[in-house]
Amino acid sequence: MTERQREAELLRAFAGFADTLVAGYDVVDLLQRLVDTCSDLLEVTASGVLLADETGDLDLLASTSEASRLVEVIQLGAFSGPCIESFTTGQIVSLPDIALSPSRWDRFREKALGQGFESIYAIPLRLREKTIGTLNLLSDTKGELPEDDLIAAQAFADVATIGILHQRTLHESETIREQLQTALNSRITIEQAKGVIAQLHHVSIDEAFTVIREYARSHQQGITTVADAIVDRTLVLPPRTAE
Amino acid sequence: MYSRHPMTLDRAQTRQAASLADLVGRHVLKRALLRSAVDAVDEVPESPFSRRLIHQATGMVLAQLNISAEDARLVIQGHAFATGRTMMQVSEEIVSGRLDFSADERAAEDLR
Repeated sequence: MTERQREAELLRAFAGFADTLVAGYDVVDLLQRLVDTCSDLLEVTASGVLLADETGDLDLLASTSEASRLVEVIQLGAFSGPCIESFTTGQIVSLPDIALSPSRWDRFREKALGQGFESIYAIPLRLREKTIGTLNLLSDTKGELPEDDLIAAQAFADVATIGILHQRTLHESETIREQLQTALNSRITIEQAKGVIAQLHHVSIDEAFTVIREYARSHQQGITTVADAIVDRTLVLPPRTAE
Repeated sequence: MYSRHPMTLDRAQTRQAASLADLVGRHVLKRALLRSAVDAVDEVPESPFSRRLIHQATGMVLAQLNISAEDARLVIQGHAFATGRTMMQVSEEIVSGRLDFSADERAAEDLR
């Protein structure tokens, strides 16, 4: 992709997000699209959005892959690593070489390197002086992220913040704390729905997410709506036909 | 339940009695777990990672037993308590397929 093509792609992506924010959307769908866009257009391999709950624990809301290899790396980074550091300081934390990360991040470093990641950037999701979570970009090569990419990444992080907080303000008056909890609750429902599908369809938890996502997409419904119906057992997904 | 006269419960009565027993059982279990949770203050708090696993296990159990998510979580909690393990450990077994409550249910039905 040439620089010019990429700029056009970025512009298109932001226009798409702006459209979505105006039209109404499912927060997990929006964030899923956002992390996928980050991985497509920025020089990164994988990405994920973490959101803080009431107690300040960071929970993974969306990631480019649901496979435990990525989920665990980001969650360790959220426990003791660059993600929690970015969250508490409200600053971008970049680790261009994960191998050189401080010893207090031992568990994160070992896991990340073991899974083939060489560098990570944690970008705060900022709301005025408050930080509500982080956008995390992982790469399988060493080196600083180009400055343009970092600027775009901060803009993506801002879209995520707006997306999380704006979702309900359209029709309900909720406090910020309630809005964050609503977003986190949709993740709980999705995890439960993954369990239901894994059990009934005899597939792995990772594959279950794909099944749910594909169904939501092909029926033009929000992934949270579909997950809700699966957990309530009002929706029984047909077994997937062989492709 | 006792009766002064010899009698059998009809279908509707059996159903009512069973759902009453269910309800009471659930409350007793909830209260017992709550009480034991107060005792076990030094237990490690759940990390977000284990939470994700517990939610996935909850989904599997609710499908296995055809119950609500809330009850499924209670089943996991009860099982963890009864076997002296953490919810995380029990959830791991459920998600890996080593522990399946519907298998227990089927076995119980075979005995009847």
